[in-house]
Amino acid sequence: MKELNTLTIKTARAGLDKKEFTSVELTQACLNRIKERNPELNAFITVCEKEALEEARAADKIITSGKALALTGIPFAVKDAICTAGVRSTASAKILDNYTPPFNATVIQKIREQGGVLIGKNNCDAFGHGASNENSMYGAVKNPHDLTKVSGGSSGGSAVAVADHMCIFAIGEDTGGSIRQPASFCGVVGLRPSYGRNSRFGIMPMASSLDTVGPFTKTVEDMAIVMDIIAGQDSLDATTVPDTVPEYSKTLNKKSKIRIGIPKEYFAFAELNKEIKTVIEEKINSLKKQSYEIVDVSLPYTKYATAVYYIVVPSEDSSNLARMDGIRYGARKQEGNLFELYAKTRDLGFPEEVKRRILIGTYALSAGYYDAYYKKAQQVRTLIKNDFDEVFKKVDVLVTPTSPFTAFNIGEKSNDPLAMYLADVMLIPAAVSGVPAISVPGGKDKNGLPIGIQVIGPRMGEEQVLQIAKQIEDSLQKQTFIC
Amino acid sequence: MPNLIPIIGLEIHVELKTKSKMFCSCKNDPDHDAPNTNICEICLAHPGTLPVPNKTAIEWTVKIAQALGCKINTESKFDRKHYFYPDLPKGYQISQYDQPVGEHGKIELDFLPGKNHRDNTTIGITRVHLEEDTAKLTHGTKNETLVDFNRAGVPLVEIVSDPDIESGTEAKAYCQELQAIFRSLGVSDADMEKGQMRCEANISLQEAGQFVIEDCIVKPAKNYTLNPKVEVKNINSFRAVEKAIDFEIARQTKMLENGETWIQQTRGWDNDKNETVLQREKETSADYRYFPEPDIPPFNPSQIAGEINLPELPAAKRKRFHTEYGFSYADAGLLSNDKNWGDFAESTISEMYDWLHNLPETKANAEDTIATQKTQLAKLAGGWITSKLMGAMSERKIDIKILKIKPENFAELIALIFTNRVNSTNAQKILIEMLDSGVDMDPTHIMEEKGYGQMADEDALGKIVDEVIKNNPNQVTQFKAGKEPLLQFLKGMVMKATEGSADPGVAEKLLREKLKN
Repeated sequence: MKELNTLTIKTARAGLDKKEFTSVELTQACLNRIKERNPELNAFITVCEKEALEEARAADKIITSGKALALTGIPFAVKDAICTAGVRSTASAKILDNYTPPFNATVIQKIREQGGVLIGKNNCDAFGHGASNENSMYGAVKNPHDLTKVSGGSSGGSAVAVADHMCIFAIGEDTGGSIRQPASFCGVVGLRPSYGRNSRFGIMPMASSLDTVGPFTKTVEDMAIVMDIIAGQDSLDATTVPDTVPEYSKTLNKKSKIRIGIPKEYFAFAELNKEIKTVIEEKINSLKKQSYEIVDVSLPYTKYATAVYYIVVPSEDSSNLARMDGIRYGARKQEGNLFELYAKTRDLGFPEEVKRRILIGTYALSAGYYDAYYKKAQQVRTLIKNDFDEVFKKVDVLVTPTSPFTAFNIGEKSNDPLAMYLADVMLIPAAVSGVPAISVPGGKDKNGLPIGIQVIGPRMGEEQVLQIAKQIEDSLQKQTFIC
Repeated sequence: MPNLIPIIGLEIHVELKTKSKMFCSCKNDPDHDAPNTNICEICLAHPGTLPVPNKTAIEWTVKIAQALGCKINTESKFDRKHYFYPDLPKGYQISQYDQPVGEHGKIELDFLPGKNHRDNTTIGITRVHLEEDTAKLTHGTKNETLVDFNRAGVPLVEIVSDPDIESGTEAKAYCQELQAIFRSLGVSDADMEKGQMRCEANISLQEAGQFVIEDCIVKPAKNYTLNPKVEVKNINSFRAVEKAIDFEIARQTKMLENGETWIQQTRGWDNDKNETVLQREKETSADYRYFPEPDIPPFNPSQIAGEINLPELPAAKRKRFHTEYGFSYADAGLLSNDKNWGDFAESTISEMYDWLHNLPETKANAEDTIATQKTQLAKLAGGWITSKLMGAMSERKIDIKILKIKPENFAELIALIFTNRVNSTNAQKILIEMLDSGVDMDPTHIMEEKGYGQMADEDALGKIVDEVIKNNPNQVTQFKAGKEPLLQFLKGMVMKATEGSADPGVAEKLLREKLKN
């Protein structure tokens, strides 16, 4: 039999319900894997060993009584920038080193209500700031496919935890690409939902107008299962929408007539790796053969997306992080007067990248600069959104690479913030437009590093995004994970 | 010295008395509970928590804006206003910057002759917007500061006036009118002493004819430099509003007359010393880094306004009380400022009319009496409510909200006075008994039980008159000798002997008759 920790939600559910194994065995298998691999990979900041096993025992009783819910007894991990009641949540920054939230993020609450077993909290770039997971105050996360490579970020630990089978699925957060890029670098499925689809309550914010919360899974089918549980309007998040949520796992295999757009701008980036280009083109051909209509399209404002992003995000970021003041919770450096307390607490508690963004954002929002930066960026953002609105009149989804390159070396870009910012170039346009996008494994490069394929859909169009992602996944030979 | 005109604008903050706070479901009760009891992860700004706006608070803000005659905007939004301070948990206050709920309203003020330098004026309202209150800081003796978050996130409406106010009297009247409006709308008790309503004043003096007010901004005429303005804070009562502004006008006038000038500054009103004290001179203007609150979608106040039916506002009620019931302007003003008193007064009048239709002395001509003596009746009822009842209640610290006397019994007392069944002295005794009984007592019962009714019965009163004549032989002799004023003395003795219940007319008549002999 396969190692239990390598199971998917679907296969684990079946095995648990048929009593082939217990949740305690499943959870223990994940914990063993964490013990074995985490010292090297650094994917977890907190492991809830005792609590997880207790929860697993309780889950086994429920399963025995025949009252199992969708996730009863299934171990999952959560990015540490997401609040989990009673479990330390640091956002990978020392300023929250001692912070234990008294409440669950809404998506976590929903997963807990369906019986999910919380196995631990994942390392990430501090407060989500980064694309390599090197900006954590708890050390970098390493790529399980090659320990000299980055995991991608910011939700790197969660991608690694799923790719390396330390858990069955994980929950991450995507502002500009923080789910899709590590998913692509680590070879797992990662979904950024439409803005307003999943509640942001309890997700430590980076840029409120872009932040989304989504799952990392081993298969597209698992993705649909988790989305069925976490999607929907929340009375605690005024930006969630009342639209009915489709039953994603039921419509997943429906072969709808879907027109696929290929945006030329995504293939024109100078940085785009030839191997990746070839892999994508193969996938497009394979979709064509399955009689999907392929249409060449254009998103002319794509090139402005990164510039817009790096004005809007630091601006909102600088505001959202103002509450980290050492007064009510978290670490405090009690020294000197009030100003010094603030300054020293924040100086010690934030890493360099966080400080950089606070400075940029504070500048961009200052009197006299607001119109030139934040306001202008929001206007350009509207143009980028219009690009997508226009293109989705012609096609139902877009297929692009997730990243112009596969996982890069640790340290390679960490001293060059601009190069790091450009790593998200294919991910940011969907993010600033609030549309859903998934990264699904598409193969590997000659060094054995995963290549991700991105499927982008219109707002609230997760259904067709998942359907095409499933087709791409199916067209691959049965996905082989390491280990 | 040229004629100096005071130019005053007020910023009023008022806490709304909604059930829950502005952005979370915590109980909205900043004053009455132990510190840090009405709090949650949202109003403590835990990471990841989000604000969900209180619908009622938005509706009430629209109501206030409507009541102030504002143009209600079709698009409004919240903005973040940033500064670091321990009373501000998020590091920013959710407020409204460039798209408030309402703009360009007005309040009309009337003054009794001689009470102000102008008898009436219109004060423009620049804007009405909604925001959240901050936490309350208490500075201890050991250099520690304690933070109470019960108040953090309480809905707070800010009302900014145009710089149209010219005196302390006007500023006070403006604040009182706002309080009356808030109370009539039922959105706040607006008690300044409790901090439910707060006032900050911007005051400057400019030479007449050397400035214009355009778009709520004071602009200098050619070759004129505006005198700097002074912001006054820590004004915690209506009296303080008037005193602080009058003090500041006098202070600035004196400085200008002496050829002195000053830097734009913030001063605090010191209630004990009765003066304003310098707090800080203007540094560079604060940069709050406003930007639209991304966690809350924009909304349409104008649509909300369409579903609101405003109650009768104090100004309209005042006018109606004067014309419909005949109350004096002063009484109408007092009675219409508070919804409970207004209701009490209206019920008293209508119950009083009922009594006039039922009492034997008046029932035959009740309609006539009401028509011809409306003003006298209102004067009588108004006087008894505003001075006697309110005075006695204030001495006993009884609020109208807990008053046990119902208008029906109070109106009966007024009717007893009107029909001379009881004199004023005894009516006051009855009123006090009604008030002190703690229940809703019938004044006729008290009058009969205690013998407070007017003795008009000539046989009964005759015996007392005989006694008085017998006991005061000197005065009787002198009266008979022609000292007319001594009749008043003897009448007083009759009143005393009857504990005030003798009908003075009957007593005098009997004395004259009996002393003729």
